Amino acid sequence: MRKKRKWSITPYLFIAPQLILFIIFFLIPAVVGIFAAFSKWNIYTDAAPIFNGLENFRQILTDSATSYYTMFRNGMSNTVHFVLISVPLCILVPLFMAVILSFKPWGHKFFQALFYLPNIFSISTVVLVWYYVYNRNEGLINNFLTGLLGKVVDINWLSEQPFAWTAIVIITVWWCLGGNLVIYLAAINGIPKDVMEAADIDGAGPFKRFLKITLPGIMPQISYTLILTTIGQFNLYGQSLMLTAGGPNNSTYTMMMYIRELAFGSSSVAGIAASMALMVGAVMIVVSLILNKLTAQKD
Amino acid sequence: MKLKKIAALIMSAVMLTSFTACGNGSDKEKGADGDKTITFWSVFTGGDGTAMQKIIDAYNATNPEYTVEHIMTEQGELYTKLPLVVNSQGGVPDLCIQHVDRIPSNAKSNMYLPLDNYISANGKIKADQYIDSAWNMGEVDGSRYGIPLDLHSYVTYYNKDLVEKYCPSVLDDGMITFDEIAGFADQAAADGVYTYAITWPRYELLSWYYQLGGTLSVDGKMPSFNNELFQKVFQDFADAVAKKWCTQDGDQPNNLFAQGKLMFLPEGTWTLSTVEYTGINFGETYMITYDTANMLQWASSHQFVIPRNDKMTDEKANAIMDFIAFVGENCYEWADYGQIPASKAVLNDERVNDLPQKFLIDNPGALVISDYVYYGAVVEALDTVAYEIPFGRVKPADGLQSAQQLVEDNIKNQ
Amino acid sequence: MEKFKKHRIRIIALILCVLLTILCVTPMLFSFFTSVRSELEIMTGGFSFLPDKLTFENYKELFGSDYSASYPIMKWFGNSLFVALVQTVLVVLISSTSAYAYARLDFPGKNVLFWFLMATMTFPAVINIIPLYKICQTLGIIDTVWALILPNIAGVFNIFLIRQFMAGIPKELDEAAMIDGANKFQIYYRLILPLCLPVLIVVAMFAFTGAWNDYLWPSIVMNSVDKLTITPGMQRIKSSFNTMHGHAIAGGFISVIPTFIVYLFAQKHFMKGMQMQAGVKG
Repeated sequence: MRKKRKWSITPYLFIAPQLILFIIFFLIPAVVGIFAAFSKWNIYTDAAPIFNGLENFRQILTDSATSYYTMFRNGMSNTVHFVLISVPLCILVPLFMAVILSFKPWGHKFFQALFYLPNIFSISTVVLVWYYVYNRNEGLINNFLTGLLGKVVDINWLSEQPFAWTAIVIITVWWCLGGNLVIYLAAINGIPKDVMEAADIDGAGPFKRFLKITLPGIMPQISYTLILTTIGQFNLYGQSLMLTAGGPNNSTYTMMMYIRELAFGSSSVAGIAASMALMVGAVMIVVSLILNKLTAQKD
Repeated sequence: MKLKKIAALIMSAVMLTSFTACGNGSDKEKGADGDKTITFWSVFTGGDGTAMQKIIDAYNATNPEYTVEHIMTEQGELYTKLPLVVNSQGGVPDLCIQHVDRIPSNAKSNMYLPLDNYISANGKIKADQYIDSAWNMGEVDGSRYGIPLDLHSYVTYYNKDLVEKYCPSVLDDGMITFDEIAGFADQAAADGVYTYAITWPRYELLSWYYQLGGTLSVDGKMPSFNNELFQKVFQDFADAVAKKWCTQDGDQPNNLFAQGKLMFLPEGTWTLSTVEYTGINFGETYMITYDTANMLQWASSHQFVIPRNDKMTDEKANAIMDFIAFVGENCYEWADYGQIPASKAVLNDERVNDLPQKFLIDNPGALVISDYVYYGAVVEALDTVAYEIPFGRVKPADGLQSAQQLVEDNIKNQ
Repeated sequence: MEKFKKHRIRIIALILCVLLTILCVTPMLFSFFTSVRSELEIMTGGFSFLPDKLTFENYKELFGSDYSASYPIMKWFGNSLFVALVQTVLVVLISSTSAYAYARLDFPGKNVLFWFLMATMTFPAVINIIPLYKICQTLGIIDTVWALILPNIAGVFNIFLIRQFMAGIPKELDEAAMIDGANKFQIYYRLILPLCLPVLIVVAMFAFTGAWNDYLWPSIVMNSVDKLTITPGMQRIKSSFNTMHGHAIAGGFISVIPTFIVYLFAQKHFMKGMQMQAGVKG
């Protein structure tokens, strides 16, 4: 039933602004970014990247005599570890909270608003407000634990592992649980009432009801937040930079920190940085495809 | 209807903020030709920031044609940011403070304007007004890029009450040696008192390394600091931490000193005002040393530079020279705050005799400043391992190896 | 007893909520109380949950004349507001016009273009960041708000969201309007846009919070201190007051206040928007 219409410029006027910006600020950088991965490039002195084949990748991946080799291994391993630990928590904690709130305790609207609050803060604010809490001698956590256990607890939250990662994961979960919480809550509330009531009449307890009805009902949202959260966490930057400055012993240095430093440092080795970025990007694509596949099957 | 309301609300908010933003913008636009402000980026973020602000306030109170606006930035951040600023030529500061050891490499990467013509046109700034060592280092390959503000170094602040209790005679010669420390540190540790501290280990370690005759680079080009001597210095430091002679990871030495739980606080000359602020009974002396005969303190010098700036005019540069000359003549404030002003004018001020750092003002020869062209890269490389090795997380040889590697890679890419 | 049974699960939920609240809020309270201690008390007094002597001198000093050029907090806040609002308006405008064309107009190349755009959705932004800097430099927009705004408004995900929503609106509406003599732009503006309000709110919220929280990019492209946005601005405070905890935390709380006030008023819309988002993707 498609009508044959005269060619008209109108539709193109509608899409033009987005397309133009898209080409300038996305397409060109993407193409140049891929090309730069195979180039030597000092962004301060070179107008354009200078093609040098696979040299960057050779240095990063095989030449253990350069520091890029160590940086990439370290940054990649740290980032992946962080993703593996923090993503499940950023899904499970809000899910748990959403289930609790879905029972509508008195004041649930207030609690919901409260739990969402940290989400609107910027990461630098979050770190500013938190980092004294982790202080070894004068911080809240150590002194609380000391009082609780009756013996002196002096954990180096920010300069000893696994505590430094714990500290970063804690503020990450605290910071971003709100977004996922509200999504899950809306999804749970969207499950038809009669389905829930039918389960109650069947005598299913809250736990069984969760597994049998709630969880399958919100699977699409879980899948979607899982992928978004994973991609987001791969870009870990602010928490590490501000809370631990990449320490101790570079064990919280992330890929984004290395890329920023190499490309925009006092001597710009943007080619190497671009190669690292390309490899991180590839990992991100592969991981999100896998996640998509895994969760889609459970639909 | 609702949409329109919201849209109207947003638009009015945008217009409101854009109005104020444009207001700022047009002020700045004027900056290109008619703005009479010298934007001055300093690395002074503590009491030094306040002291510099006092000098600037005094200068602005003389009603100069160009007033100075002081912007404090933590030094790590300033050094990260400056290459981006200069290379993009957006919002370049008119005047900037740099550590003298950064000047050679930055001058080579074309980050500063040479000052020779500005200095001679202005005529108020002369070499003989400044301490030689500070003045000479502002020159690279025959061109002057830096005018010195001060010399600053690491010193030891000591708690007089604790010294009285544990080692009353240690300061008879005005110096503290590691041999002496070995005699009483265990006893202090048993009472929960630390003898000395890890504060900014790069300064501490380099002082000790140079006291023992070490050097960062033998040939002046490639780094050669991964050697047995430097490893020993690191190892000694790590041992002191392990024996609780020295503060532990996560401690805040400044606070411990203020609380009377730390005997010797190795800190910068610039920390004087903070220590005074705590009201503790303290004195100031040389760094702890291996050898009293070779009493060297790792030091640096703050220098004024003009970052490369397409918009710099001769008139503005002249005003900047006026300001620098003013600071040179009115630098007591800077000494009062703990530093050693590079301008000899300060010596004419009698109040200087009462300053705790007088012993260094009289003996600038004890101050050693790096002349290694890639010192900036060394700073970045050492600042990481300098915390990791003493706290026992990395072996000295491994840490120094990776630091040296980092410097080598950095040089290769320049 | 019957009543208790009926409410048992709600009581357990309430207890858990209170516990979680304590867990979330106590660190904040501790930090706030630290910010109203004097620096001297923090240095010499050691740990204490409540301040010995309440003082706002840290806050006062941060706003004082010594720091006003180095840490212009209110200016940063204004810049953030400006950038986030302009970006939000432009994102909504540009994505919705574009989505309108892809959803409801016919033109040669439409499907190819649309699916090409969609295919780029998974492309990781980390690859673009270096060339993007060079492009902004070429355009001469480094150290201007446009370097913050322009690269962030052509997002493809938003088009996808809005197009999905628009596709659900019956075509007959357009045709009826057409018969009434409305042109394509009028249909978009008067008819479709108001119907899309819920999804537009979601997109707007994404745009706003994204712009507000952006940290890495502004710290690279903004040079002048007085042109910074609040997020990288706070990093300046964090590093500068590294040994002055009271000041640093005070800075953190100051930056929270405006956001907090906005949130108090807009909280309902925020929640609705987030719930919409769940619906859209569901």
